[in-house]
Amino acid sequence: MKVTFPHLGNAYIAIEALLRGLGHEPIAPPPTTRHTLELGSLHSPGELCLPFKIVLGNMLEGLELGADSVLMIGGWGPCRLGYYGEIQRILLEALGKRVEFITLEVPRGSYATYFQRFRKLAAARSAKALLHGARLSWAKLTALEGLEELALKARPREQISGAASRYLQEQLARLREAETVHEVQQIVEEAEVGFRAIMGPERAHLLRVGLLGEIYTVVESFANLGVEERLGELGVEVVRTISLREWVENHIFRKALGLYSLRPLRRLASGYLSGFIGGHGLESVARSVALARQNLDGIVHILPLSCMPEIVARGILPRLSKDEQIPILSLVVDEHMGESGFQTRLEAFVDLLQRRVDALGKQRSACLSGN
Amino acid sequence: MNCKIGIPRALYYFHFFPLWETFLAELGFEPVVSPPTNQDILQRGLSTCVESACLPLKAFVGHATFLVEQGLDLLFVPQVISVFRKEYTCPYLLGLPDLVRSYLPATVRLFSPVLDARRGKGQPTFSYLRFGLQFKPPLQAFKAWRRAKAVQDELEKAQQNTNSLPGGLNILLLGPRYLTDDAYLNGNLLRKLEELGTGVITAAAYPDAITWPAARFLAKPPYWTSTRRAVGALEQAINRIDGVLSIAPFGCGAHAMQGVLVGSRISGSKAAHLQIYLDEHTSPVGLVTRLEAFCDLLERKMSG
Amino acid sequence: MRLASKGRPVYLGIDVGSVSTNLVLLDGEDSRSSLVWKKYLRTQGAPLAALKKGLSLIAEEGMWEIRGVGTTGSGRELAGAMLGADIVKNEITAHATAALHSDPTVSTIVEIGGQDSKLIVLRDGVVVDFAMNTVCAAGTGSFLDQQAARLGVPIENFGDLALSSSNPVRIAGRCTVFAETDMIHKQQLGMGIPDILAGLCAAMVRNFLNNLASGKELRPTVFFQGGVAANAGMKRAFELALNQPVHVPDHYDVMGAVGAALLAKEELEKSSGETRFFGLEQAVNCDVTNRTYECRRCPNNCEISEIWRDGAFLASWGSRCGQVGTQHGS
Repeated sequence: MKVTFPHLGNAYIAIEALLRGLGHEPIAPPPTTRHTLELGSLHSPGELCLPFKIVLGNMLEGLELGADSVLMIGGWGPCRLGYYGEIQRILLEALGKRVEFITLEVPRGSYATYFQRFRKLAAARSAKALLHGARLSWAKLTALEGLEELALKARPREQISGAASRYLQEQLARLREAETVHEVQQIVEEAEVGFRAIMGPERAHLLRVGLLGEIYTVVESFANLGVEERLGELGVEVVRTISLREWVENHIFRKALGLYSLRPLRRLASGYLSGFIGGHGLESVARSVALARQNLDGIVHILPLSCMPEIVARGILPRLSKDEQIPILSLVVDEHMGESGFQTRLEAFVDLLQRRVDALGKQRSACLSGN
Repeated sequence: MNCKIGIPRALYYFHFFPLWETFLAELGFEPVVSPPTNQDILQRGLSTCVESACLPLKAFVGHATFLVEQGLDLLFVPQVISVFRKEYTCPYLLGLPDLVRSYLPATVRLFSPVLDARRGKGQPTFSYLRFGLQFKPPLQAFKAWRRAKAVQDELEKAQQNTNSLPGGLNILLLGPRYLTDDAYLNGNLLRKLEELGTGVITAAAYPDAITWPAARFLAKPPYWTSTRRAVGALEQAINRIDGVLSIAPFGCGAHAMQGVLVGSRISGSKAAHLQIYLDEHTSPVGLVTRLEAFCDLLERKMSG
Repeated sequence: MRLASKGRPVYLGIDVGSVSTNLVLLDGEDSRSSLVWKKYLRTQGAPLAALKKGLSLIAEEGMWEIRGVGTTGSGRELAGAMLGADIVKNEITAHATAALHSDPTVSTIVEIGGQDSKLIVLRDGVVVDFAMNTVCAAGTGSFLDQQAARLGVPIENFGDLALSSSNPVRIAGRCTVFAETDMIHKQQLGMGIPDILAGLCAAMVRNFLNNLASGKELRPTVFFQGGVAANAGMKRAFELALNQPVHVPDHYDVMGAVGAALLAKEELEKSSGETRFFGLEQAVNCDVTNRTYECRRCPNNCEISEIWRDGAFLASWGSRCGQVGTQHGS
C-alpha cells in the first residue's frame, strides 16, 4: 500500500521508518504550508478547529502524490481528536476519493481485533523485518525529539542568529535518510557536539519558559506559528513538557495493556482539577504546577480555538498562576491568527518576565489570556 | 436539618431536574433553583467565565454566582462524566465542578457526586446513594433515591412521545437539552417555530433504547451521548420529517462533527438541514429571519 | 527655543500601525521628558512613505537634534531597520511605559486603536497581565469610523451625540456584520441616532470587557488611550461599565510613540552610548524600498519581507527555517 499520513511536527521521520518496516511505501505529504491549510479549510465545515483543517489538508496533499491509504490516530473520547479520522473519511469519500483508512486506536472489543488489525497492517513481512522497522522507527522518534531539545537549549545561546534552527534542519534531513539504529545514534552524538559549537558563553539569568497545551498545536510548528523558534530568538530557553514518544508509550502501549495511570498527574493537579477531562487538559494543569515548582520563569499555554479540554484548563490557570506564583500566557491559535499579533504577545510576555526577574524580591504572578 | 442548597438552572439540570430536586428534598435539604436564564444572570457568566467557553457553560457560571449572591453557600454541581455506557458527555462537563469552583468564593461548598455511567447504570445509582448516606441512614437514603428515580422516569416517559407530529411542516430539532429547553438562550426558538405553524419533534422524544441501536449504521459510533442521540433520532425520524434544525452553542466541538454526520445522512433525502449557532452575540432578529427563510424553503420544497 | 548650531536635543518615538503612523519628539534635557512635537499620519498601506513624510516634517523644522530613536507598532521592525533605531519594542510594553510615565499609579490601561484593542493590567508600576484582540474588527476604531459614516455622522461629532442620548438601545454583535445588521434593524424601528450611537458604544465596551477582561480585576487608576479615546461616548460607556472614573491622557492618540521614545531614552542612558540613528538627512533622502515575496528555497513557502536602502540590502523577516539571512542591520 502507498500510505500517507498527517504531519505532526517532525514525526514523519519516524512514521516513514515504521511504514517501511511494515512493508508499505510511505508517502509523506509535502511540509505543511499555507496552501495545506487553505486546502483543508476549503473542504471542512467552518466550525472545526485548526488541527482538523491542517490534517485534512495534509491528507489531500498526500493523496495528490499518489497515496491510496491514510494512517490516522483515533480514540474514544471525550476529546474530538478521536473522531477526526472518521469525519475526515466521510469528507474524503464525499469528494469522491477512494481511500483506505488505517486508524491507530485502542480497539473496542477484544485483543483479537487488535491483533487482526495489526496483521492487516503488517503486509506479510518476516518477523525480523518487522522488528527492524519498529526498532528503527522508535530510535528515530527518540532521536528527533532529542535533536529538537538540543535546539531548544542552543537557540537562546547561539552566536549567529538562526544558526541553531538551520543546524537542526540539516541534522533532521540526515536522520530521515538513516537506515540503521547505529547510524541514528551516531547522528545524535555528532549533533551534541555540533550544537555545542553553535552556543556562545553561558549567560547569566537566561529566562526559562515552559511550553504546554494541546498536543497537536504544541508539536506542530505550522499550527503554533513556530513558537519555539520565536521564543528562542527572544533569548528564552523553552522547556518542553510534551513528548510524542511519551504519548505513544502511554496511549498506544500502556492503555492497550491497561497499565496507564493518571494518578501522578492527578496528584499534581489536586486542588485545581480532580481528574481526566479529555485531551491534554489534565496534563496542562498538572504540568503547570510541576513547572512552577521547578522555578521556571513563566509558562506559555497553547490551544486551538474551541478546544474544550484546554478551555477548561485555561479557565483554571489564572487561579493556579496566582497560587503558584508563575506568569502564564494562554495563546489561542486559529487560521485567522496574524503573525504580528502573535509576535507582539510573545515579546510583551518576555518583557513582563524580564521585568519581573529584575524586580527580584517582589513576588508576582500573572495569568495572561493572549487573545 | 433543613438547609438550603442551590441548583443552577443550566446544563444537565434540564435532563435531571426531577431526580435532583426530589432527591435533595427527600434528603432533608431545601433545594433552591435559580430562576430561568435572564440577561442579568447571563451577563454575570459572561464577565466571569473564561472567554472561549460555550454559551451554556457561561450561563451555568452566571446561575452559580447568582445563587451565591442570594446568600447560598451550598451548591449542587454534579460532575456528569457519562450518562450512558461507553459514552461521554463533553469535556466541559467533566471539568465543570473544578471550573465553577475557581470562580466562587472559597466559603462556598460544592456537592459534586461523580456520575459516570460508562460502565453501566450502576455507577450513578451507587454515586447518588453514597451521596445520600452522608445525610441519612441507609434505608432512608435508598428510599429517597427510589422516589426521586420514579419521578425522573415518569417525566422521561412523558417526553417520549413521537406521535405528536401534526400535518404540515415537520421539523426534527436537534440540540442539547440545555439549549432547546432554555428559552432565553435559544431566543425563544420553540415558540417561534410554533408561530410559524411547524410540528417539532426533538431527540428527547426517542429513548436510548431506540437511538443507540439506530446510530449503529455509522462505521464508528460517536462517543458523545448527545451526538449519538441526535444521529439515532434522525435515523428513526428521517422519513417523517421535512427538515432538520440543529442548534448548538457556538464553538461546540462535538457539534461541529454532528453537522457532518447529519449532513451526510440526509444528503439525497428530501429533508433540508439548517444549523444555528448560538452565543451571546446572536441577534434575535437574525434568528427569526433564518427560521422564516428555512420554513419558506421547506414549504417550497413540499409544494414543488 | 533654538540652539544655534546643534538644535534642541530630543528623543524620537515612532509608532507604525496599519492605520496610522505616529511620530513624537520628547524633550531630551527636561527630566520629565515632556512632549514637544507630535504628528499623526495615515499609513494608507504604505508605512515607508508615511514614515518618510513624518521625518521630512521634522527635518523641515530644522531645530531638532535627535539623541535616540525608538520604534513600535506592527511596522516596528521595518521602521527600526530603516532608521537605525536604538530600540524596537512591542506596542504593549510601549503603551504601558507611556502611561506609567504620565501617571505612576496607573493600574489598568484600555487601548483601542484603528486596528486592534488591548487591555493591560499593572500593579505597582509593573505589567502583570495583558490581553489583546487582533482578530475581530468590531472592537476597533475602523469599525466606529465605518458606522459613523454609514449613519451620516461626522466622526468628530460621534462622541457628543452619543452623550446626548437618554435611552441607549441594546445592540447585539460580535462581528461587524452582526452588529451592523442589528443596528440597521434598530434604525428601521425608528430609534434616534444618538440612542443608536450610545448603544453602539455600550456594545463595544461590553464586547471589550467580555473578551479581554473576563476574570481580571480592573483597579483604579484606569487609563483610556488610542485613537478611539477621543470619543467621549466611549469614555462614558467605559465609566458606566467599570463604575469608576476613566482618564484620557493628554497625548492619548500617540501613546505608543511616546512609549517608544521613552524606551529609547532609557536604553541609551543604560548603555550611555551614542544613538545608532542614521540621521534625519539620510533617512529622508535615501531611497528605501521594501518587497514581500514567497520564499521557494524550502517548501515552507514563508512570506519574506525585505528592506533595501539605496540598493543595499538592510534586513529581512519572516523566514521560519533561517535559510534566508535575517538581520544585517543590527
